Amino acid sequence: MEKLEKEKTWKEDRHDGPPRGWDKNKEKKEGKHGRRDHHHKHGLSGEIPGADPGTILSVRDLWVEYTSGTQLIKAVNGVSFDIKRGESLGLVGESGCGKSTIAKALLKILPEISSRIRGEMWYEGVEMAAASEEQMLKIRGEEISMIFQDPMTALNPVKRVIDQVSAVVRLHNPGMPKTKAERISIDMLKEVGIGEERVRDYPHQFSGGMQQRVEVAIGLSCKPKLLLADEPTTALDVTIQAQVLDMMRTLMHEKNTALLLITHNLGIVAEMCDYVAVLYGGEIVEYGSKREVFKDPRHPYTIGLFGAIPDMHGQGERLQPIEGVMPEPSDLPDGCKFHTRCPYATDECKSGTMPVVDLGGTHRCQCCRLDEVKAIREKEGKA
Amino acid sequence: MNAMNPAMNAGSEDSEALKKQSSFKMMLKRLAANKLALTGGIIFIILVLLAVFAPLIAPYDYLTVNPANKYAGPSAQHLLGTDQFGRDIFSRLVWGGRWSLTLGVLGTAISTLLGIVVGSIAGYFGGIVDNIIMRIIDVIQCIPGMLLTIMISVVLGQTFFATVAALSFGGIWGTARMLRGQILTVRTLDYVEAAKATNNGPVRIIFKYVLPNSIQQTIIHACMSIGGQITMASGLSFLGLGIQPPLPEWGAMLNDARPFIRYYPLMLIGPCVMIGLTVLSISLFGDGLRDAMDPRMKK
Amino acid sequence: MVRYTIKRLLLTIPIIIIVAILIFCIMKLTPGDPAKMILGDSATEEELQSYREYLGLNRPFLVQLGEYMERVFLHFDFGTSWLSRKSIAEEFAVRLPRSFAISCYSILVGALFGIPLGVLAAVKQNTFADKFILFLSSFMHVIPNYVWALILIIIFSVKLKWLPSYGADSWQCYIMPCAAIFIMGFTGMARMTRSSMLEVIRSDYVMAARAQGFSKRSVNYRHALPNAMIPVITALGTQFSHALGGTMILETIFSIPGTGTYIQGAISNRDLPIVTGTVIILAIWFCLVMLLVDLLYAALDPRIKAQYEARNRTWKRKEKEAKA
Repeated sequence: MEKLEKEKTWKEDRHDGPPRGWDKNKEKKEGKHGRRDHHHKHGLSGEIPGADPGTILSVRDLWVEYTSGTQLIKAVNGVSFDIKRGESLGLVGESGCGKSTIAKALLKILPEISSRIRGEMWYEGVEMAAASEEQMLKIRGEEISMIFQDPMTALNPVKRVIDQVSAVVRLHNPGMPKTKAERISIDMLKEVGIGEERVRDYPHQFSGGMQQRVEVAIGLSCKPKLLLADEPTTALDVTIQAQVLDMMRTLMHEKNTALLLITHNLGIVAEMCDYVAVLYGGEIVEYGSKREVFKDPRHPYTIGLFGAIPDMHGQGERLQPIEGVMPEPSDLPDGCKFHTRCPYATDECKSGTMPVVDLGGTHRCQCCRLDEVKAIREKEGKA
Repeated sequence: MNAMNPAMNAGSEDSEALKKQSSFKMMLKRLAANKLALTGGIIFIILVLLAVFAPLIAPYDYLTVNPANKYAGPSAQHLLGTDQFGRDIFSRLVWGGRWSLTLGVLGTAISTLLGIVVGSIAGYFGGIVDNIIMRIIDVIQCIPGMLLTIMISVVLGQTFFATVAALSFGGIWGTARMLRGQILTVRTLDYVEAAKATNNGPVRIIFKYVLPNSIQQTIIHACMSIGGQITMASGLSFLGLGIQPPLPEWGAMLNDARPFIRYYPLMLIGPCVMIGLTVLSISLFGDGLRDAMDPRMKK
Repeated sequence: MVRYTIKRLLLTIPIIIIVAILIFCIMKLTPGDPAKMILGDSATEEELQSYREYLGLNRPFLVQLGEYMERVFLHFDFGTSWLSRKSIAEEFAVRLPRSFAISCYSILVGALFGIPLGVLAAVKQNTFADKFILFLSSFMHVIPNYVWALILIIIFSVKLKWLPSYGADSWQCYIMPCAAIFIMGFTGMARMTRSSMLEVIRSDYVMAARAQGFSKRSVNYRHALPNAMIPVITALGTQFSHALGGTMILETIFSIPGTGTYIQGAISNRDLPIVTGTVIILAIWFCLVMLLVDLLYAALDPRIKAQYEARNRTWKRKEKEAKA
């Protein structure tokens, strides 16, 4: 009952909002037409109400909860961000902060029975949180696709690599002959650096890096406009990481694909992303362009993250790890989620909602003691 | 990271003990939250209590013959009626638990212990030792389990301990094979390598580092196999081997009552229900235990 | 793969021989004099002596063993029963099909019902259907088949008088023994399918297939189901490997003259040739079916195939090293 009422209220809210730029009939025609020809796809388009032009993804006040056994886990707590066409956003945070949940929620592939999504997720004029499964089927893989963390487990172990790629190609291009789909798949695999002689191998015959290349090939095979990459290189060796990231960057640049990169590695963000969102306890605690956040991190958590990375130019300073562990998502504290570990926390931080402070440009930060923190750090000569 | 023993995390002794205790508490908590498992556990405890306090609970002796009162139907004096010799069926069922449950538990305990020994030897030493043990297991597993148990039971005779031995012998190999597999995977993990590097002896390594991580599976396996052993024990008595009438082992009671199935089926229903209830309660509890011990394995 | 198969087949031979020796020894260790068992208590010492002579029981143990092994493994002759003097091979020809029919029908029908139920339960996880199937299987699966058999007899033979409770003369005789195994089998199959299916559904590549735009239905049935079937098919094969030896108690209950009752009677009569011969047959069946299961496993899962082939390569390398 309660759930129903809530749904009602936010559905009504939406009616009050700006009109939707989604014409079902028109879209259907276009979609069908677009599907026929792989290379001249129209796909979805349309403005997102209330967002800057050129924005393809706008997440507004996203909440995700799920139940595990008897526990209610609040994985994502009111997250908002935008991604523009061809741009890349890095979502940074420790494991358990809700990074992967955001990606899965965006595609609505979380288990329906045990999870609940609230908020708005606009993609090209479609509000996905309320979209039907049918609409989502058109979006997944074709408009937004996803790369998973562990290539070992994300590829079907009993199917040949080429079949896995061409299955996706044929899914989004119904009626395409098998040979043509295979041709496209082979080309795609070549683009990610897998020679034609290997395409009929099984996933277990590839190394981790090669498997991840296959995943990238599958992810990009239908020329999506947005790619969600969930820790795409965490399972790989450092040298292989660089290769895969390089390849991804080149391909995305060529195809003008936007990227939501989920990682815990600030180095990868520095290399790949235009914008950074730092996630803690299911909330974005700091957001801004890469330059803004890297030059001037303001949230104590972000500062802590940078303090835990060795500095190439530093004079042998000690690394400063963030004390303690991330609270369980089932047992998040009141107030600022970070106050249990924050060196600057006072009683003020322990209750209420933390204000989001605009720091100029795109830079914003969720903290109630930003100025005090800055003052203390300046006193200590750190900032 | 990998060099840490997942069963006992690095850290001071105190926090280690605390962690173990709390994870054990967590397990109990999860177990208590599982209603089916709880029901299974309670039924099993009631069955055990019935068997333990049989002399107090059973209204009659299990051997007292009363020719005047054969095939009596259920009544206030004889809750489940009497059998072909006028013995009280309810009393016999209560007493029978002593044999059936003891056979099941003892058979499982012995076979699990021996299985752990054989399995850890094979798994830890590997190479030729492992090869020989595994070939022996191959040979034994070629012979249907029931058949092997029957043959050993015939060789050793129809006493209680012979039956326990026959039951245990059949159970060793499954446990050994499973534990060996577990050890083979655990053995290659970094923390065991680390333990080896710090000059620990093989026995110490097996007991301190390898077994704690493989034992969970073994405990679950053992708990589940009590039911199988009871099935096997009763099956054996049912075939006229194992525990012999007039002792009221449930399988033996079934065998005893089988000729009368046409005239007096009530005699069979009691033992059937008892056997069924026992294996069911064990299975429910075992399932719950598995889920509680390793939540990742939960369905 | 051919190499692997040949190697496994060759490995079967010593296993069978060791099984034969083992059973021979166990039978020799069994207390009780076969001559006395066969001739009865009324036989005189002289008669017993000459009968022992006739059976060759007076010669040294190793000679008896050697002779038996030679006859079985070189001439493929299982000999005759000590008690009835009938040819064991001929008895097998009559009895094996009966036991085989009971287990095979029940396993097949069990799979036919169990697998779809398991899939249904997994796809509709945590719904009423799932819980109902789990509940059914939780007690049907664990209660021993002889208990089911007795319950079935009480209901269908004693109370309703629909089905005969013993014999193997008509097809009606097979219904209840098959049903007793089926009740355990199909619920076991459903449980196994369900858990295997759930494991696959939760795996990353199924999640990935959803992310690539495949519909839930297509993901469940085209991506998850084939992979989830691999362990189920293996388990089914393992059931078949026990098919000939698993019906002993049921055959006794229903008085079916199959292999189970045959070997059981022989054990109590100390009829060594029958016992050893039957166990050899059962062991050969077991080894061959298990080999087939492993081959099937390799055919279904390329990772397993790669493992077998890798093992082959190690053998080849070792051979080369040995030669050098």
